[in-house]
Amino acid sequence: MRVVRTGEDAPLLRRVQDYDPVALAHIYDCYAGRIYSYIYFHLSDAGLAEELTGTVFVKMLEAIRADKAWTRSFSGWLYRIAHNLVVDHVRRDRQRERYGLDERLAAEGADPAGIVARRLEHERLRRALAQLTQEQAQVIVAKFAEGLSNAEIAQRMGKTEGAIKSLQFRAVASLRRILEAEE
Amino acid sequence: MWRPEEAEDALDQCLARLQRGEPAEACLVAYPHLAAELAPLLAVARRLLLAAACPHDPAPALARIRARFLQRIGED
Repeated sequence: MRVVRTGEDAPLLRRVQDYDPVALAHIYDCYAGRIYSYIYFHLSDAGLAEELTGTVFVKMLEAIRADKAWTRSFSGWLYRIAHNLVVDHVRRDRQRERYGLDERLAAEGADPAGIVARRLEHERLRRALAQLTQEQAQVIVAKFAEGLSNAEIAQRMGKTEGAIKSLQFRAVASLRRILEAEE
Repeated sequence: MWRPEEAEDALDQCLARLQRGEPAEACLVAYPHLAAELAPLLAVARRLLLAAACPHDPAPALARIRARFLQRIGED
């Protein structure tokens, strides 16, 4: 998987906006795995990660059709769709107070207790991440959920690799303090 | 006393090794003077890595989504 750069890949992105099936499939192959990981990292639910990853790409098609697609960073725009879907889901989930052994959970595997424990850990980490600065949270998610290199994160955030290392250190140290205070 | 840049570089190196599956203790051997500072940070990093690791292979799911995606393009 490679990162599509808005400047360097302008011809590809133009073809995507023209609804070229080959370019759209290429974009899917570049981003789907990372979008899936991003969603899984936040929700810890394989079924939901599949459903919402599909929704991200359908929303991309709908936005292109409606001429409401990205104006600057394609990658930032696509992740914003994923982020909004995750936030909407978490909000609905809170209303339903589901962390019980619902049907989806039971269908996921033979170890429902393990699944519940994993989801609770995800919830603790998600709450802690929400207390970081936006840039710190961005670095953590890019590094741990998407598996991006420092160079890729630096390119995405418009910073040097040194600045990313520094941000990463402060982010992990802040997470430590937040988690220790809560546990 | 250590410099902030030194600790930032050391954490970055340790994270790369953790991501390759090495235990935190092995990563810290290279930085004995920073071990007390880095150990709790690596514990947090390990929790993040565990949370990010899918317990299953996502490839079949990605293939299913791709098929539906291409079908949708064909229908438009």
